Amino acid sequence: MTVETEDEPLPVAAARAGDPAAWDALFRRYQLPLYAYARELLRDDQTALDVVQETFLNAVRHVASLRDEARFGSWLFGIAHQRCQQHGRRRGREARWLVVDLPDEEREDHAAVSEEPDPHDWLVRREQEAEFFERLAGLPEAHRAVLLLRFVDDFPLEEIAVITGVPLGTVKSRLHHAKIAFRRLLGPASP
Amino acid sequence: MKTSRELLLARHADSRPRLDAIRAAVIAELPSPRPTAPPPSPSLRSTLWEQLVVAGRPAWMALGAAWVLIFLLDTASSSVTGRPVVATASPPSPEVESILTAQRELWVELTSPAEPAPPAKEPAASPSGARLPLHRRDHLTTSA
Repeated sequence: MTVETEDEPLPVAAARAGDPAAWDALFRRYQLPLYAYARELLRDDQTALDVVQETFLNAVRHVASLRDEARFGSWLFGIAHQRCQQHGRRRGREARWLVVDLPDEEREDHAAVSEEPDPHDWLVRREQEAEFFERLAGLPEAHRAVLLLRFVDDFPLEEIAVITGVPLGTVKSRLHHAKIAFRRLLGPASP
Repeated sequence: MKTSRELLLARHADSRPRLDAIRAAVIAELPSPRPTAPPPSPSLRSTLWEQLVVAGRPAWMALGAAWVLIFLLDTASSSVTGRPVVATASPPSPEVESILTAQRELWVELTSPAEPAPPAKEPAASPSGARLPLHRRDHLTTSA
């Protein structure tokens, strides 16, 4: 049992029933996006691998708490996000991880967000790739998390709000900030 | 050009072997699926009930109907020919009558109480006196 593409239905029900093949298919589908998310968020290979492993184990252990099988992906990323937060606190980044709302975040003009191309559709030229990752690394972790979730699985903003545990308005604001940081890089090449 | 997603996943594609190992380790630790419990074996009583009564219900109904029919027929026939047997019996022949009379008299004779016996006579004294009662013989010897 494999899930090769995102369009194929996920065997979530079979996994809930304890089918190892179903779990294998689910983990195979999400292992690389989860790792990329954790790695870009925590900037450490081994910690990112630990996060993936802990996410898998927690998913198996707590799958009964999954309410909507169609949202298995966001549920899984929610676990991963919590693990990233815990690892980030252990590494002494507590001050940065706990910054949930910047004072002026909610006062931003959210109308501007819809005018920007969606991060999932951003096209990066080969010569821009290094700068792309530099800019990504330069974002605050809270902003980077929103942008990464949009990158790796094209989660809707409502699900990103659930994954990161912040209000929808905050997610929009963070995405707006992230777009501004990338505007100069991607502006001329973006569709 | 690559999309942001393609770029991000391609950057970490080298980690696939380690991720595969993690996935395999987690799958190996999964609890084995719970075997489905075999259905409980039926008890002897329920088996007999099923096979003898439930399965043979038509046969039992037919048998019961047959018994009811036999009972009704028997009742109907006895009401038609229900005269007493004594009335249909023929009177005994004279020979049998005489034998029965003899038998009846013998029965009365045997079962009637016995006649009282005549009173017993005093036995006569023996002339030699050899058979005197014991206490008399003692008297005779002491006086000698």
